[in-house]
Amino acid sequence: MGEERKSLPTVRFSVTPEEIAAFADAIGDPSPVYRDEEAARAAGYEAQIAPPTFSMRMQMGFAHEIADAEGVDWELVLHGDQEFEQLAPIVAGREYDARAFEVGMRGRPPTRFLAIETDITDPETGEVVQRSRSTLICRDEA
Amino acid sequence: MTRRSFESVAVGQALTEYRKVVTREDIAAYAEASLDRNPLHLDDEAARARGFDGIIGHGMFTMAHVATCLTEWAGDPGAITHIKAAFRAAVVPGDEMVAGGSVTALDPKTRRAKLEIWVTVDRGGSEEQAVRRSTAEVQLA
Repeated sequence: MGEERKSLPTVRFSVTPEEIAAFADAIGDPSPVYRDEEAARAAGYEAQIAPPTFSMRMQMGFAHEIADAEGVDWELVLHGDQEFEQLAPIVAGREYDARAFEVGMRGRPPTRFLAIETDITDPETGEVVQRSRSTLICRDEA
Repeated sequence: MTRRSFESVAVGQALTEYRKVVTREDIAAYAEASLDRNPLHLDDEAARARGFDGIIGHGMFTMAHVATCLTEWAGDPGAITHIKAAFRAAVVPGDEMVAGGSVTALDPKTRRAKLEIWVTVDRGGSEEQAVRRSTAEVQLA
């Protein structure tokens, strides 16, 4: 990090137990902590928590928007790498603010690398619960 | 499920492998759950126009399964403090995806484990690395 980051406007999301359960089903993760409030409480959480990669749901729109603004053909974009740092759980029934930063575009056509960071913040405490970084491979031709 | 204890872990310990034969329906379900509905993942013709033989799975679909392998090992999804994956090959319908990992370091001060994680794909007897040189960190009990 340490590079200058252009940011997109913050977007607020409500996280529902249903979308957490659907995400857990789609990734084959059987943990009851995603699906059952009692199990989540027994594990020390206030309600169901989200799987580690759940915030992709919140980030997809940002990546698309940044790619469009850079004149990238979204349908040719490949995912190069992805990193998540989890500082606190994302919990069902709460709201979160997601803010994306365009860190930079590197390389030259026909293949460029677009780096995006996203912070997920708990608006009640102002604390970041998850930081993530994506590198997208932007191709000009198939 | 309870969180795995620091004392029960040793460097070199392997995660239980997570195996799955990937179907088009699995990829479509992930597209809905993640809101990544890029036609590359849903429409064979669109994928062929973009240089592939047919639809490919999302990189994040692969990463999410190695995360599942990790959360199962940790005993608590909230124990995962860091995860980083580099995507090196696409997973396609019919592939058997195998996610695994092993413990590379332990810090008694923080009671955290560092792991190396990977996903390989078995495609008719030949193996490809879909996720490699990737890492995770888990807060143990």
